[in-house]
Amino acid sequence: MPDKSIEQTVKELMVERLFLKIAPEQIADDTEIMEELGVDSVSVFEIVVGLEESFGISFGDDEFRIETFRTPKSIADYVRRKLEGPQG
Amino acid sequence: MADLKPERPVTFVCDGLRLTGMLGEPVVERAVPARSETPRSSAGAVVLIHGWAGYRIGPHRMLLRAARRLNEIGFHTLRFDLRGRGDSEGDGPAVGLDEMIADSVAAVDFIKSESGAHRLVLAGICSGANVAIGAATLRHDVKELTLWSVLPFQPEARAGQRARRARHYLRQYLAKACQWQSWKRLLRGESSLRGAARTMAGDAAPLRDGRNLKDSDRNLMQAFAAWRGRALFVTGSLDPEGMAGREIFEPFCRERQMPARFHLVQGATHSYYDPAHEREVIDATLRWLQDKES
Amino acid sequence: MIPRDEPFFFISGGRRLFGAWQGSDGPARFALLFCHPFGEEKKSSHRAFVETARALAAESVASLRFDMTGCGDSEGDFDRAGLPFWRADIAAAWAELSRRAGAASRALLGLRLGATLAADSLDRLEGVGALVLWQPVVDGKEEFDAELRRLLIQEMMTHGRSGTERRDLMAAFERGEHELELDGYPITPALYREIGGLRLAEKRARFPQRTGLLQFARRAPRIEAFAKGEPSIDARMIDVPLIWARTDFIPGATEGRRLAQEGVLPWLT
Repeated sequence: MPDKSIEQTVKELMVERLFLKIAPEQIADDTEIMEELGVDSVSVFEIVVGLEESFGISFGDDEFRIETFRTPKSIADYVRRKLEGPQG
Repeated sequence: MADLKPERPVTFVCDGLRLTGMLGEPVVERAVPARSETPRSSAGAVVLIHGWAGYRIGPHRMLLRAARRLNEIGFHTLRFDLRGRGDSEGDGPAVGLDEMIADSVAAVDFIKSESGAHRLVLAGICSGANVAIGAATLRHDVKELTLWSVLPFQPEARAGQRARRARHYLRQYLAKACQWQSWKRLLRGESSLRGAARTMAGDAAPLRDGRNLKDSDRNLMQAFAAWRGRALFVTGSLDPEGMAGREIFEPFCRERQMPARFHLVQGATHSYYDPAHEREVIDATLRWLQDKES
Repeated sequence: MIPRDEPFFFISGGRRLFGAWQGSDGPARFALLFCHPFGEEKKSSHRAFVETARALAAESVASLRFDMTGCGDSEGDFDRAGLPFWRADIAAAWAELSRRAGAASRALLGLRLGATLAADSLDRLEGVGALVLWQPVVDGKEEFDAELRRLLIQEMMTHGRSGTERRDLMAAFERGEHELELDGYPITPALYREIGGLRLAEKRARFPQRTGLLQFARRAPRIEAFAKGEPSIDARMIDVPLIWARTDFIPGATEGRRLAQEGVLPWLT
C-alpha cells in the first residue's frame, strides 16, 4: 500500500468514526488531533478499532503511546511499522 | 430515631417549560413506638445543579449521594434537570447559560416555598457551578455557594488564560512517571486530558445562531463581585479546566475580600470518579455548611 | 395532544425504582419499555431515551422509562446490585408497563447492556410482541475486554503511555489485588462474572417474531456477525452519534424523531 493512502485512510476513518463535520482533505498530515479536534479516549478507541479493521493490524496493550496518536502522520507511521513488521 | 424520607419527584415551571427534579427532605424524628412523625426544622435548602451535558443525578450519581448526605444533616435538597436536559422540557441543543440561570432561579423559588427555609444554598458541578454563580447574583436571598470544578466564564476563557494553564498542566501530566499503581489511577485520567484537549482546541463551546451558548448577556464576573455571600470552591488537582477556574477565582475573591474557601482534592479529576475523591468533596461541603451553623 | 410524562416511583423487591410514564397522543397502539445501559452510559443516554419517548408518543406509542437498582434515581448501590436485581427490576417494570398499557401491544427496547439484559429477560416476561436491540452487547466478556482497552487508552491519555497489560490487570483484579471501577462505578468480581457470562446468541431462541437490531454508525463486526447468523433479526443502521458514549452531545427533538422513526417504529408496525 503506498504511503500516501495510509494517511488518507486514517483521515477518512477519523471523519467517519468520530462524526467530524469536515472533509478528510481539511485535515493536514500534521494536524494535532487531540488539540485541534478535541479527541478523547472514546474517540481514540474508535480510531484504534478502525485502524485494526482497515489494515489488519493489532495494537498490543503495551503499544499505546500518546506520540502515536498525535497526528495523522504519526498514526500512519505506526501503521507502516506494523505492516512492515512480523505481523504485517 | 431518625429516618431518611425518600426523595420525591417534583415539577415546576420556568418560562412556560416544565422542569423535573427530586425533592429531598431532612431526616424525620420518630417517636418510639413510631406513631407520629415530627419533621425536623430545616437547616436550610440546597439546590444542586448538574453540568452542561448531564442531568440531575450528576456524574456517577454524585449529586444523588450528596443530596442524601445533606438530608441527613437536616437540609432540604432539590436536584433538578435544567431545561432541555434529563426529563425537563425544552430544546436541549439550543439551551444557553442564561436560560440555565433562569431555571436555577426558579428552582430556588420552588424549594423556598416547599421547605420554608430561609437559608438558601446553590451548589453546582462543572458548568452547573457557573450557573450557580449566575443565579446567586440574581438573588439577594442566596448567600452561600458551593462550587465543584467551576470553570472560567467564557470571556475569561477566551482571554487565553485557560489555554495557557491547560498546556502547563498537560505538560506536568506527561512528565509524570508512567507507573501503574491501581485501577483507580487509570480511571482518574480521562476527563483531565479530555478537558485539556478541548481547552487547547480553543473555544469548543456549542453555538446557536453563531452565538456561543455558554456566553451570558451579563458580565457575570462583575455581577459576582457585587454579590454578598460566602463560597466554597472545590477543585481536583488533576483537572486542568477546574484548575484554570481556580486560578481565576482565587485571586478574584481575595482581592475583593469575599469570604471564600478553596479546597483542593489531590489527584482528583474533573468529575471525581474515584469514590474516595467523591467522598472528600461531599465531606468538605458538609463541613463547610456546618461551620456556618456552629 | 401529547400528554406530559409522569415521573413516579414503583417497587421492585422492596426497592423504590424511578419510572417515567409517557402517555401517547390518543389511544396507544403500542407500549414500550426502555431498558437503559449501565454506568456513565446510562447518564449519557438518558436524554436520548426521553426525546425518543416523546417522539414515539406522537405516533401512538406509550412508553415507560425506568432506572434499575443502584442506577439513576433508583434506590440501592451499584456495587451491591447485579444481574439478579436487574432481572427482577425488568420484570417489575414490565408488570408496571402492562398495568398501564391497556389494550396496547407491548414491546421491549434496550441499549447496549440494557439490550442484552432485555433479551435475557424474555423467558420471564409475558406478551413481548417485539424486541428492539440498540447496539447490544453481544458477548459480555468481550465487552469487558473492550472496556479494559478503553481504560488503557485513558491511561495513555493521562500519563503518556499505557503501562500494563490486560491479562495482568484482570488476574490482579480476580485475585482481589486491584479495584476495578468504570467511570466511578465500582465493579465487583461477582458482577464481572455475571456480565462476563452473558451471550446474546444464547437468548435468540426466545426472540419474538419481530426483533429489530439498530446499529449506530460505527462498524461493529461482532454485532454484524450476530445479526447475520440470525435471519429473523432485522438489522438496520442509523447515522446518529453514539448516544451512550458522547459526553458532549445533547440530543434534541430531531434526534428523538430519527431514533423513533428509524430505530423503533419499523419493528412495531
